[in-house]
Amino acid sequence: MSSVLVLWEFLRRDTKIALSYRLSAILQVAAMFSLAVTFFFLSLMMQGVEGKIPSLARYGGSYFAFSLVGLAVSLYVEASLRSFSMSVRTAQITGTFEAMLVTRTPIGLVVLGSALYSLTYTALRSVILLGLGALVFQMPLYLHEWPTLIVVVGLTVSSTMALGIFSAGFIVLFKQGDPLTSAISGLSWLLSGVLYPKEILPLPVQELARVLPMTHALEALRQLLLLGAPPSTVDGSIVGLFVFTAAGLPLSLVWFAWSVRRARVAGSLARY
Amino acid sequence: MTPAIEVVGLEKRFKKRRSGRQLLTPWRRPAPTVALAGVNLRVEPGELVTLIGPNGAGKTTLLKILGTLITPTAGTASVLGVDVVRAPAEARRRIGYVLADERSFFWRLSTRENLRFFAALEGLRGRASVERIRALAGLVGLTEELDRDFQDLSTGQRQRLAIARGLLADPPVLLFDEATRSLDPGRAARLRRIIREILVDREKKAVLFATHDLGEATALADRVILMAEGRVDAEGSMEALRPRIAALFAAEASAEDIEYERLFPPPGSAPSP
Repeated sequence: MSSVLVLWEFLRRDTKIALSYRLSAILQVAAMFSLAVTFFFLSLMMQGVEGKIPSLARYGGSYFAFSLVGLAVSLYVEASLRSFSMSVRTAQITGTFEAMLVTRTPIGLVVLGSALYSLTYTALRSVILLGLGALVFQMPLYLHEWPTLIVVVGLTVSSTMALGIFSAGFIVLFKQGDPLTSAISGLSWLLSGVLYPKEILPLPVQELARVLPMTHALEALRQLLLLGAPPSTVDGSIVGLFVFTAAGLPLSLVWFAWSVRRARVAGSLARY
Repeated sequence: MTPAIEVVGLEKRFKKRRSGRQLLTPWRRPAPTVALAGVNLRVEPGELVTLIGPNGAGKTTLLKILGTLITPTAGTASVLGVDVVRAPAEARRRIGYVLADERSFFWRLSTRENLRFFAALEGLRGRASVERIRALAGLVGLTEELDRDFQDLSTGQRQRLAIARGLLADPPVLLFDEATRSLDPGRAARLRRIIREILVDREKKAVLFATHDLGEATALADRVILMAEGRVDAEGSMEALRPRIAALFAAEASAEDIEYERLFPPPGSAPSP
């Protein structure tokens, strides 16, 4: 319970700080609208050919709906990948890291708390993006499989969080030059099917894409949101995300704890 | 009686980063920087000890080890019997670390919000947090500034806020790292009175106060520990140590003067090699 209250205080702190930059908050919501409009017109250009693309037909045949779900999920996955390392780096640079580490709160909770606002805010932006698609551009969204949706979203969060914690470990140790985030992020955009169906990729590359959590998250969320498919159709994706979580989360926590120990020995915990 | 702070044979060596040329000879390790070279010290509950020494003497490294931010290379350090390496979380429950760096606050939050956040990290919430913040603001003279943004506070006010933050959890052991650095003489004297009369004499807290200000050490301490080059050079009352401290600081100043004159020779004199 006390950990939840500490996390709440982090969220409260960062919301207050973000709201003190009002123009930035307004612009970021406006950017979501601009993104939706851009892809709406892009999909207008593809009207007439959409039906002739079998890999798109698998997801309902609307490029607008396909790309908007891709963007919403990738926004969130990117945030999960970067939030932890960015929060550590920001706290090191602003000088608040040391002050938080000498309190009774364990470092893991400090890092999770520091990333919480970014994760929550990005989730909100993703929902706004999908909401705009549904309400303004009449994009069909099926929410009746909401229990499965919650499971998929939860596993997407936990599996990408594992990668984010790995990345934070790199920042604690090396301060800059985290190789993991850029690699995972770049490969996800290329192979997971954010803006084009992964089925258009060569078969071996499609197999390679299965090692990325975003591939499974996109597949499952498109099936559920765009087709209203029954839970049994996303079993494979759920298992994939579960494996990433079950293997990745403990490993990432062990790696992070080791990084912190090394940084304490080097005396570089709060350096940047 | 269990000492408030006990440090035995504490050593800290920092690895040096290799220069570009040294990367070509990876089998040769650069000599480490020795920050602490076998420090022994003891602070009793209710005692105020000043750690004095020139810059680079190892004072901050010692405090950071006690604050669990740095792991020592050898030796042990414990706070009220709790080893800071083996049980860092337990040790932090017993310590209040006054970090004087003004960057360690959230500039766009108010004084109250900053204290509320750090109080939550110290396990205080609800009414207990509100009352503690009010009491500490009164203690350090920041009651009127509670709703002002941190960025609008003066340097001295920020320093006093740092002190209030260190006291939030009401810990039995307090570490001050040059806590009066940016205070005007009046405020610094008031802070020293708070430390001496309220925290030590009344509340019986143990205080380890690092400074390089001789006047401050004279005004504050029961006992002075003089540090130089990572070692405890001498220990005792300020009166007894004054000649030794004065000699050490004079030697440091003299070395700096020589270096300054080498870099910026007086007009007309021949430049040093």
